[in-house]
Amino acid sequence: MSALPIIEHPRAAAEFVANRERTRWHDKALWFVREKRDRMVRTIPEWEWLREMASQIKTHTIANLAEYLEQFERSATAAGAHVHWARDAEEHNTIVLRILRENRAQRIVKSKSMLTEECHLNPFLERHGIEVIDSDLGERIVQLREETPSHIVLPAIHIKKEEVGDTFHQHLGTAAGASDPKYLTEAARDHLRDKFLRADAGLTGVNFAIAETGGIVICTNEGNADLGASLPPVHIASMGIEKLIPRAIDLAVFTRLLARSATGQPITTYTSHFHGPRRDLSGQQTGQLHLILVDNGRAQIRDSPEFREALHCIRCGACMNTCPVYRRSGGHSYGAVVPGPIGSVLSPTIDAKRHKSLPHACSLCGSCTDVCPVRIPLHHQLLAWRKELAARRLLPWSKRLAMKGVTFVFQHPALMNWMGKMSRMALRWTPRPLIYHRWNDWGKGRELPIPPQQSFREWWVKNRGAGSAEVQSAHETDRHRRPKEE
Amino acid sequence: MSSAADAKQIILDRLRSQVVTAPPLPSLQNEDVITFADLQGQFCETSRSVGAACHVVHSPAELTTILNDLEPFRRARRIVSLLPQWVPGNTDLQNFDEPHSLRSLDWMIAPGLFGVAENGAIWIDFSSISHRASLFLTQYLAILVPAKNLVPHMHAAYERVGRAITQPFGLFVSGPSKTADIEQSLVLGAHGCRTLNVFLLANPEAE
Repeated sequence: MSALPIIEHPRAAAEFVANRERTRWHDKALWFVREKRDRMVRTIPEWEWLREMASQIKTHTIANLAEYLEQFERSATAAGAHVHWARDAEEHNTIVLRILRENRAQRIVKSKSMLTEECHLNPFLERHGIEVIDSDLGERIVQLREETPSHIVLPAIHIKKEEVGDTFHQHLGTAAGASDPKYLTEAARDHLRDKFLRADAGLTGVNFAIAETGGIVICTNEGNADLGASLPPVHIASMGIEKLIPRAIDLAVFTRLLARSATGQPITTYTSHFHGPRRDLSGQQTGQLHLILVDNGRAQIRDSPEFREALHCIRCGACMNTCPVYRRSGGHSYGAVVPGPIGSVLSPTIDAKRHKSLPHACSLCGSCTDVCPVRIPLHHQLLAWRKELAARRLLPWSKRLAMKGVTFVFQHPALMNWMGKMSRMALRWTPRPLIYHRWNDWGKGRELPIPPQQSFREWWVKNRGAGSAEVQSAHETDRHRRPKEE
Repeated sequence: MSSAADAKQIILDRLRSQVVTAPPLPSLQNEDVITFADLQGQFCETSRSVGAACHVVHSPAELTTILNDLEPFRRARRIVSLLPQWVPGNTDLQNFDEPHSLRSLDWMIAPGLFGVAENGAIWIDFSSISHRASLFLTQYLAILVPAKNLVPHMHAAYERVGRAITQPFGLFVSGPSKTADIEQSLVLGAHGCRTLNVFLLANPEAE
């Protein structure tokens, strides 16, 4: 793969942010999903217990990952599945192509899989003459528009229905100007039914893989994964090695958390459990099931005590829906396969230089940590990344210089007090054009606060300091109380 | 072949080179997990909230009446019934070698083993269903579940599934297939069934 450009989140977001009406629309659409999540969560009194269980299960599994992977391989193989291992994206793609060639498969249908996005599987297969059809409606829209998903659960959340209408008019022959979601969905249903029926192989992701039984679980609302895994004779399921859970009963915890967190549904429409290949009623095998276990940097994340918990992620997208930066800057501004808070933690672990601006695309409000169903301390990890980037000298010179300056000021209280006083005065008296101009990022899109008359320190000295009236009276009270207590 | 074996060994070695200690798995025992005084009422309410139609029935006649009131059922040409003693079908899944031949399936009536009150999900046992694709290809789906087989939550549900989970295919279905991928507008009938009718077979003792 060619050297990838460095992502500057603020610059990448500039175009999206410039359209205020669209930014507001995007913000509202995601907040709507966040509110649905909240309503759903409030109906479960044991929600916090579920999060704690999920976190403990994942912590245990990631610690013993090698053992659970081996157990999974043994039981999956016993059930009749073929298990493949891939160290990186390239190995993964090569394995998929090999399976397809062995089965003379030319046309494949794919359901949503962030892992195959991560591996850039589609362009790879297309280069080798395979027709790849994304079958999730949102992903199909994005694929026809030659874009990438901007959200891991809602791939087309950045696209307006009129734009979908134009795309479908061009590719599926829907009526010009038609933008009714029901009509467009029906058109996609017809179009994709045909693709499912003609496909030679189906590719899916995996939500959970059960070590003890060797099975995989796939959760969808549309039913596309099930059609893709039930019509063509070959089913290939790609999964990151962190998708494992030890026991079948652990599914209860995760299926209760996943859809509630993702879209505010009590569970996805379909929760499908696959153990080995398709069989007829006599037990005769009628298809193939291939499972590809992919590392692609996950073991490296596991090495780091600071970022290990990021492997707990079940890809619900709740951290994106709640993130004030994501909601206003759009998924594409992250320039990463997984955007939002979890993406900003994961992406720099793969390539810190390329993704160095992402941990700063965060106000440290902590909302992501609050909603995360598996309790990943996301905002702590983002802060840890900033420290790490500074240590690796990956901060831009402007930020580095500013940090040095601030460090010096913080070490000299008298200087800090004087500077505080100066800036309070300056903010009050400086003419607007000198504050609100294109070089001052803090004056863009917002009004700076009206500076208070005095600093907190000045207020303290006056009201709580040794000579203040209140402190005198507090001392009085203290003197009176003490004898009683003894 | 040797490179594939290498990949496995390299991944496992890498994982083992970093020893991570963690407490054992939690037991998942919790006395305070949600319960519902009225399982049937809760199940129906949740089922409706996820877009299904939920009917409580006492007899095959009652079920047939409800189905015949549905316009798509009256129009249906190809019907698979896995409950012929309840509703007659006209298509037998076992007569098809390839699931692709089921593309024009209009209706399917299937038995559900049990339902889950907290989320309206129904467990479908596929051990006697030829062509699992039929459940996703059918335009309209109806499922009959005995009301006495309702469980409150997913913990009880997976306990109930037990070892049957290792069958080649098993499914929880909750509501009709749906999507909100176009501007968050909910549309029922994405790739799977357009509607889901759930029939709860009333529990005689509870009446």
